[in-house]
This record gives sequence, structure tokens and C-alpha cells, in this order.
Amino acid sequence: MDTLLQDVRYALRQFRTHPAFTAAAVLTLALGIGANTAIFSVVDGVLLRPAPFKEMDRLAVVWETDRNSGTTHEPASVPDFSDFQRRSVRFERLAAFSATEVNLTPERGDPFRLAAVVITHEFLPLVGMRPLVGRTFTEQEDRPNGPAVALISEALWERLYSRDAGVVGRTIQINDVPRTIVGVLPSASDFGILQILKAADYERGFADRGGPGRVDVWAPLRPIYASNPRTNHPIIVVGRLAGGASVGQAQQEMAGIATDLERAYHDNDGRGVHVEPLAQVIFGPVRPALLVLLGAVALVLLIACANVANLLLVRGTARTREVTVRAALGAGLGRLARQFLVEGALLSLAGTVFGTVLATWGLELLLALAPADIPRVAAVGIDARVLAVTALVAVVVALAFGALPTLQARKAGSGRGVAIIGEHRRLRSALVVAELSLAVMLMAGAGLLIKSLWRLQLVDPGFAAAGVLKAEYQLPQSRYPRDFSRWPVWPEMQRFNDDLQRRVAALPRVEGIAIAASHPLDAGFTSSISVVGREAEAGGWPEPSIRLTSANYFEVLRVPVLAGRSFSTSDDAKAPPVIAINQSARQRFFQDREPLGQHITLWGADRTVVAVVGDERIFGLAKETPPAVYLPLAQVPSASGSHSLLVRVDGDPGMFAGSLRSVVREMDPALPLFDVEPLVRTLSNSVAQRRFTMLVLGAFAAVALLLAVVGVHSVLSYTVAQRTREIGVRMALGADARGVRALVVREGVALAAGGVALGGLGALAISRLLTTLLYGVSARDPLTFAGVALLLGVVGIIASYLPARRAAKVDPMVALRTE
Amino acid sequence: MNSAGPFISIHNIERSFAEGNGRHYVLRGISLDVAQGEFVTIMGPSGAGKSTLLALLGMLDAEWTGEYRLLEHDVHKLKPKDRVPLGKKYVGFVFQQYHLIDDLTVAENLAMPLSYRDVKASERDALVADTLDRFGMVAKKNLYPRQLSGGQQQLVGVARAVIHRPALLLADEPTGNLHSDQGKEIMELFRELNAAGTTIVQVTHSEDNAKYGNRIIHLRDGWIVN
Repeated sequence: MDTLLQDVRYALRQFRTHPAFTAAAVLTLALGIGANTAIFSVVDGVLLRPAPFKEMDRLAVVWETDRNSGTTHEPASVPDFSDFQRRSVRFERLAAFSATEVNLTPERGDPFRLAAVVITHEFLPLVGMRPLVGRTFTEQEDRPNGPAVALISEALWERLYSRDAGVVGRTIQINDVPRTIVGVLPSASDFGILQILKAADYERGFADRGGPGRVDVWAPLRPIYASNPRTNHPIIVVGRLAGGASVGQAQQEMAGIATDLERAYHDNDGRGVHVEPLAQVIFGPVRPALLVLLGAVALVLLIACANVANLLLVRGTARTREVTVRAALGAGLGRLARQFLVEGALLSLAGTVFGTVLATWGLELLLALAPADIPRVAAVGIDARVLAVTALVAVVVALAFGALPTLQARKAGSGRGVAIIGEHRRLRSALVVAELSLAVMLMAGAGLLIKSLWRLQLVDPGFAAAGVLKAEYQLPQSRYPRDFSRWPVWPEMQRFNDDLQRRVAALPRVEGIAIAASHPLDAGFTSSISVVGREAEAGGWPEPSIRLTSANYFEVLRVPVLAGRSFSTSDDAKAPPVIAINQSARQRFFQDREPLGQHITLWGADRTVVAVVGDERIFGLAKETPPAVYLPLAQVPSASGSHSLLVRVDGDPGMFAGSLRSVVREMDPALPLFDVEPLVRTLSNSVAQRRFTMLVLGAFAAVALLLAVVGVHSVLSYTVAQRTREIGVRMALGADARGVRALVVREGVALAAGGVALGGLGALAISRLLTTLLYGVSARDPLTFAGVALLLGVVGIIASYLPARRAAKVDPMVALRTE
Repeated sequence: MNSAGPFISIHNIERSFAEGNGRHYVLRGISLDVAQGEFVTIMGPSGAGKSTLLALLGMLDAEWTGEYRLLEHDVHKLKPKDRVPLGKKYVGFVFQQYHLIDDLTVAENLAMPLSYRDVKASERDALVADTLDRFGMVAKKNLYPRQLSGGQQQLVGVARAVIHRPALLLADEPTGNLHSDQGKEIMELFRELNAAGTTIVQVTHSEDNAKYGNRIIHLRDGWIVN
């Protein structure tokens, strides 16, 4: 024990007397360990932790498919769900949900907008969630005209009721309707909802906006079969597999049921079923990116370790005399090894402490940048479990760093001094080449992602987002009745929209205003159509996206009208029904035919095609535009009451939000205006996950490059120091400064070339992993690889420059001095 | 070459280093003429300034004061970087510890000074072959320095120093690391080179080696004490 303390004291003294070495080693380790801890905490929190749902591996989503449109992730119709529930035996239980948003009017203060989910009463028992207080829904509450009840989230319980256990039985005003609170659900209850909605490409609501994924209100679904035909697909079906049943068996069974339904009902033409494990739906989209990041950060740690190993080798060479003296004084290899282990452990400990601090900061930054659709990202943090993994990494690092100088000492003791210096030089060069090759792999990955994002930014979204402010609102049924017997004449809603447009248009700096049921990046919903006279063909047509817009939508969004005319204010409920189609719809449904003047049948009316407009990328920049049809809001009002207000202003649209809110407050103080943001931000959010992966991988590549530069620099500095006499001799024999500089730089470039060659091969080998993250660029893009090679070459020269300059300043008189 | 004046003429040369608040003088008031074709020996105890004087004559050191004339060139009037080409043209060096480059073969070591003088590759190869032949080292041309004895290494050192046919050969303890037979061999070689017209300035502690020269200059504490 006494000698161990002595070792610790000696190690600390060593570090104190070599502050540059100590700082370099600790900082390098801190960077490597910190980055690993931060990313591991995300991967652990998102992917590795057990799911909050009971026996997650037995849960699956039952999607409907459509052979006509090729969709494989479509929600189900209510009657289909009922048939699935009745006939399936492979599923122990089936439940359904649908997401929506609601206006909540608190007892005090302004109304606000919340994400809500309506569920069948089987849903919560099926996933195994129990309320913190109260109970879940009963079967009676899940029937049409059942009692108005709600469950609230733990967060809302805290916010509105300060976790008062007496909340059960109180009423809450949702969409102007008082509901009785029957219970409070723990915060993990909304696990995966956002990801399931994202997977169902066309689901409207908070999922599409990339907003906070938290669900605050649950209400019974109460399926009304009469008003939900098989052509409507509003609900997502989740099932728990029966004991012993596999996903494959369930798929087979459900496919059989779907075939029967297709035979029985014309509305189910082309319909099938796709049973997908819930874990795949939730984690599938983020798993590749997170695993790439985990791999990348492991490379950063390897680079950091290679750098520290290099530093230790330098120190080891400088300590050869010390080791020899110690050995001569009787220190055995074991005793020396312990000394080095203590030094390695102390370095590793210091690196881990600083690394954890760096990880805490880095994680904050990471979470601020992270897109909301990463599952349970809000719960990510550095906890005991993450710290335990970090400590394990630290122990491995400490052992490795203790072993290295021990091996060195063993060789020094073997009397092979000169040969060892040569070996060290080769080992150090090999380590640097390895570092550089790892940096090349990271840089190639980052380069490909940067190019992907750049390609995406170049994609024409089909509308001009700059200068447009977007604000959303949903007119509640209570004050803006939607009486389907009078459809499409809903005067209250029409009046509000007309009044809002008029008032906003009168504000200064407003250049144009439009209202749409879905903004240009909201995929909205689809419905089947046919063309009068070609009804037989329509059976095989995909459902186009339905876009409901006010008269001047195309002008405000600058969507080009390629043929025909825009909608006008005279296209109202009294005028003949009209319709516009996008370019994709023209290509899909009309090919060589002239679409203008043709009649499209949709929702019981024949509508005259009056325009062909450009394609808006409604599924986001990375996805092709599907066929879409546009209808005037005055002829087809929004059945859900949801609207997007789009205002083109002269100047910064962000500054206009306040004026807009004032107008809405004056018109309806109880109506919340939500997601008020410049449309360019909405556009930018649509690539948030790609940007996040790119930024993080880019940061790692930058750190890797920095560490590699330090590595090259340290190897060359060491080499120059070792070769001082040789350089002096060369100068005495006529070498000039330029020649000496070239000698050193050549060595740096040779290291870089080795790194580029090896790293290039490595990057090619792992490029497959990146394929799913790329857009418009091949995983083996030669330009990116060439760019990385060039950058590494330049970096090699820069890293060599200082040692080269030092070499050129060697005094040739060293050649004349005797040792 | 101008044979009217001395080959080397230095006058009142001083060389010092900063030391604490003052300066430490290594050479003081050195004045010396060396005629073309002379073989001069510099002797003195350690620290007398012998190697410093040699470095100064070979243009390896520029931090001195005084006057230095090499043939028609007033070295003291040249900027330090303009002195380097003079050194390249006129001077060859032989070191006590040979200073062959470990990773280069004998032939490559010989070629090195030529490459620093931008001699064309074909001419370089011819000169190396000629020198290997002249020094009887053809059989060893592909060996590395560590495969040679001390005497053989110094032979390569001398060959390397004269391969570009310098008019002045500066030798710093050329036999200091050799045993007497090998030392004698090297000194005989010097005598031959001198007889062929090369001016030689050597630093040595050996009275025997000093006898190979025409003249001995004694240095002590930076002063000439003859």
C-alpha cells in the first residue's frame, strides 16, 4: 500500500513537471471519452433501454396497404378494424388510436393547443400502461354518446393541478366541451405515438410538424361505424400477439382476412395488410443514424487513444534512461508495470472526469439540436448506467496505457536500444496513419451527409417559402358548427376565414394572404377520384392528396399555374364546382390528354378542371411529390376545422407574428393560434433529422481531424528532434532550408497519403451503412472522396509545417559538436 | 581562382555567446592567412574555439564580427544567406563522428552533397561511380553505414566531403574515433588530396596527425597563441 501511494505521488510529480504532456493527454482523452459518453447516453436512452410497454416484442402495428398507390403504411378504416378484432386469433387483443390536436381552455389564462390521442378502451391495457391516479377508459365510455371523459398527462397534471391527487372527477374544457378527468397517465404513455404517426405518411397533426411529441390529453375513440365508411382510414391499429404467435403468422392471418374483405366490399379494392413489429416502427427510422453516430464516436475514441499512445511513446523514449536506472537499481518488470499502470490510471481518471463534464455540455447541445421525432429523446441524460459504461471505457484505456510503456521498458531492458528507437518511430507512424485513416472515414461520412443536405437545399420545393409567415388554427365545432347535412355551406367558418383574410390584408406590409386546410409541407389526406367518362380506369389509380385552399393560394405561395386559371373568390359554394391538379396528377391521370375542362368526380360532385399547377413537395424535400388535387375552400370547407394561414409580408415574417395574434385575439379570444413561424423554418424543420446527423457526424469528423493533425504534428516534431544531428549534417553538406523543410513535409504528406489510402478503403467498405441517410449522392461519391483526400493532403502539409520550420532552423554546427 | 592573394584571409574575428548578463567569448581577435594548397592544423585544448573557427571558415556560422575574405569574396560583407552558396561551392567537411546518414547506402550518402548542388542525375551517378572507384569502395556501394567499420565509415565521410571537388577541405578531428592504423590511412588520404591541390584545414589533438600539415596554429581560450 505504501509503495502504491509512492507510485501515485511519483506519477503526480511526473505530471506536474511535464504539464504540456499531461494537458495534451488529458484533453485528448477528455474529448474522446466525453464525445462517447454524450452519444452513448443518447443511444442508450433511445435504443437500449427497455421500452415502457409490457413485452414490447409482442406488440405490432397492423397497417393497411394499397396496391393501387403502393402505400404500405396506411391507417385502417373503422369497419376494417372491427372485422380484424372480431376475426383475428393470432392477436390476443387489438386496439386503435388516432391523433389529433385540441384547444384547451384553462380555468384561468389564454387557451392553448395540445396534442391529443383518441384511443379505444383496449389500448392502454394492451400496451400495459397504468394510470398514476384514477383509472383508464371503460367500454361504456368508448361508445358513441358515452360520457365525456379524458385522461391527462403527468406533465399537464403538474402544470394545471400541481400534482393534486384530487384531480380525478374535475372537469377540463377541451374544444369548448367539458370533460371529466378520470385519471393521470405517466409520462412514458405516449411512447412511440409520434414515430407511428410519422410512419403513416399522410397523418395530419403534431407528428408532421416536428413539434414536441408529448401527448397531453387522451379521450375515448368511440368509433361511429355509420359515419366512417371503409374508404376513410383514420385509425391506427395496434395488436398484442397471442402467446406463441409470430409476426409472420399474424401477417398470414391478417392478409387472409384482408382478402376476404376485399372480396366482400368494393371499397376495399386493392387493400391488404402489413403487420410490422412496433419496435421496428418506432426505432427503425432512427436506428441507422444513431448506430452510425455510435460507430463514429467510437472511432473518435480510438483516435484519441492513438494520440495518447503516441504521446506516451515519446515520453517513454525520453524516459529510457530513467527506466534503465530503475532496472539497474533492482526494479523488476512487475514493479515498473505497476508504476506505469498507476500513471495510466491517473491520466484516464482525469480524462474521464473532464470528459464527463464535456459530455454534460455536449449532451445539452446535442439535445437542443435533436429533432423531436427521435423516440423518448426528452428522457435522455447522463445517469449511473451511462457513467458505468464510461468508467468501463476508462479502465480499458488505463490498462492499455499502462501496458504500452511496460512493453517499452521490457524491450529497453533487452539491450536493443537503437533498434527500439527505430521500432518506435515505425509504431508511431503506424498509429498516426491509423488515426488519419479513421479521420478519413469520418470525414468521408460527414462529407457525404453534407453533400446530401446541400442537394436537398437545392431541391425546388415548388413554392416560395421566403417572406411567408405560417400560422395554424382549428375552429372548434362548438362555435363554428360543421353540420354535414348543410355541407359545404358552413357559414360561421366561412365568415371567420373571410373576415380574417380581410383584416390581415389590411395590415401594413402585407403583400398577400391565403388560407389552406394544410400548409405546403403538411401531407394532409388522400381520397379516391375518378374522371367522368373514364370511371373504369380509376380502380387502379392511387388516391391523390387533397388540398383545400383559398382563392389566392397559388399567388401567395408562388406555385406556378402551368395551364388554366387560379381559383377566384367567385368559386364559392353557389358556383359550379372546380378543381385544379398538380403536374404529377396530370402525368398520372391524363398522360397525353388535355386535362382542362375535364370533370373529376370527388365526394359526390363532378368538378371541372380549371388549372394545372406546379408540384409542391408536400412530403418534404426528400420525397417526390405525389399526385394532388386542389379544391377551393369556399366549395369544400375543412371538415376538421383545421386551417393554415399563410401571409406574404414585405420584410421579416417572424416580426409579423405579434400583429397576427392581435387580429385573431380580437376576432375570437378563445381561439389559440399555434405553430406561428416563418415558412422557411417549417421547410428547414422538414430536414431536421438529416441536419442533426450531419452536424454531429461533422463535429466528430472535425474533432478527429484536429486530433489527427495533432498526431501528425507530434510525430514529426519527435522525428525532427530525433534527427537534429542528421539535419545539421545535411545542412553542413549543402542542404538549404527549403530542402530541409521539404524533407519533413514529405514525411507528413507520406503519412497523410497512407491515411487517405487506408481510410478511403475503410470508408468504401462501410459506405453501405450510410446509404439510408443519403439523398441525391452515391455512398461512393468520387468527388467527396477526392475532396477528403485533398483536404487530408493540405492538413498533412499544415501539420508538418511547424516541425519543418523548426528543422530548417537547426544549427548546422550541431554536426561539429561531439556527444 | 585568384592565386595572387591568400586563399583565406581573416582579420580580427570575434565570436561570442550571450551568457547571463554578459557575453562569453569563444574566439578573440583571430587573424590568419591560409595560402592556396596549404595544409593547416589547428590544435588546442577542449573549449579553445577550434571547432567554432572551423564552422566559421565553412560558412556554417554567421554570428561573428571581423573580416573574412575567401579568394576574391568579402564574406563579411555578404548577408548570411548569400554566404551559403560560397560554402557549397568551395568547402567540403569531414566530421569526427563521420555523420553518415543511417538510412542511406554508401552510394546514396556520396550522392547527397551533389543533389544539394543541383547536379544532374546522370552526372551525379558518374561522379559517385568515379569516387567509389577512386576510394576503392565499389564493392561496398550498396552497404549501409552500420555494416561498415569505423575506418570504412570515415573513408566514406572523406569521399563524401570531396565528391564535389571542393577547393577547401575542413576536417574536425577526422581520426578521433579511429584506431591508429585506420587513422593513418585517412591522414595519408589527406596528404594525397593536398598534393592534388586541395587546401586543408584540420582540427586535431594528435601531434602525429599535425605533422601531416605544413603549419600548426595553436588556440587557447579563443586566442591564437603561436
